Amino acid sequence: MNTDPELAQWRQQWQASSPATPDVEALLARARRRNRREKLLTALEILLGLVVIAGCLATALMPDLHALERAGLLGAAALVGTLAVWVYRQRRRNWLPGPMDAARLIELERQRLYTRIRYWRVNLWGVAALWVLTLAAAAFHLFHGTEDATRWAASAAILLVILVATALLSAVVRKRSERQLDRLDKLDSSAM
Amino acid sequence: MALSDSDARLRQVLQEFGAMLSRLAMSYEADAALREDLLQEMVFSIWKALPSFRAQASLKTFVARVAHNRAVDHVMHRQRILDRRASGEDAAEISASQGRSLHEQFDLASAIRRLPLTYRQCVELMLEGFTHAEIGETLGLAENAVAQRLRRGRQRLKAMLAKDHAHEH
Repeated sequence: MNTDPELAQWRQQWQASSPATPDVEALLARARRRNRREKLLTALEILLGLVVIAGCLATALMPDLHALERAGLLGAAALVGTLAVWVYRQRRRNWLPGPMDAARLIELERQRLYTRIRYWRVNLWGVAALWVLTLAAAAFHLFHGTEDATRWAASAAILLVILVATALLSAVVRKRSERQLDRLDKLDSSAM
Repeated sequence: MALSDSDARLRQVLQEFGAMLSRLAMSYEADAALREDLLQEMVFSIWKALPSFRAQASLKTFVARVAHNRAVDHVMHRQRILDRRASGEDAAEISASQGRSLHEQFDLASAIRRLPLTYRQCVELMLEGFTHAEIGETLGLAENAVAQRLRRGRQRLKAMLAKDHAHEH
């Protein structure tokens, strides 16, 4: 069909560079193993997510709970649910078969990184807000000398640890994402 | 059962397009071990995507599309030195064989890896014997965009090969 001798020569060289079919059975076996592992991991994630959500909801339904505690527990249940869906979508992204050239894939990846940075920022502010509210509740109970004060103070202490961990993780994710964005910019500029 | 069905389908795909997938991995990754990983990732992605294959498109373009998407993802996540002429298994392979044709194959693969991604995709598919329409279908591009990228890609490839050749002498 194409009589261009240069192209014909390149084609011949290219196709001769890996003429043999790879070890099909080995590739299949590894794909099966990976599939089993991913299914198991997904099942575990779903199970763990459901247990945490059920635990949060069950505790939130307890009658002698403060409105703030109830809100916190419902928020945690929603957060876990959102996280589970996000993880599932991230995993699925790997085998999306849509027709896309490199430039569009790079743009998609760039958007994904921005979303990740935004997600962690929102996460950090959310935990910080929760900590401030818990601290305020502890101060309120302490001021009124109720016996709930210790429980609120303990919750605030635990939330502080979570806040510090989230802040550290958020900084790492941000740094890593920015580095990756830099690399994408370089890839993109070389693609023009 | 669904599992053996997908197994059989994947086996058929690998027998038919396995060599093409190996070459595709070679156009994105110079390191032999990473190339093997990339090939495995491509196979897994194809396996997962196969149930969504509808016969409106050809199986060849479907497989190439999933594999290319996976390969670009690999490049985005692993910023590697793509051309390892001076070290690694590729060079060892060449010095062992001393053959001129192997040198040429290596030059070509190495030059393709140095092409910008958007040109590389089109050129690689062209070398696999895809028509402009098939390349367009694979990458979601209009035929005139494919033609333009191929023209520029070929020019760059030619220039790189000439430069590499001049360096050898």
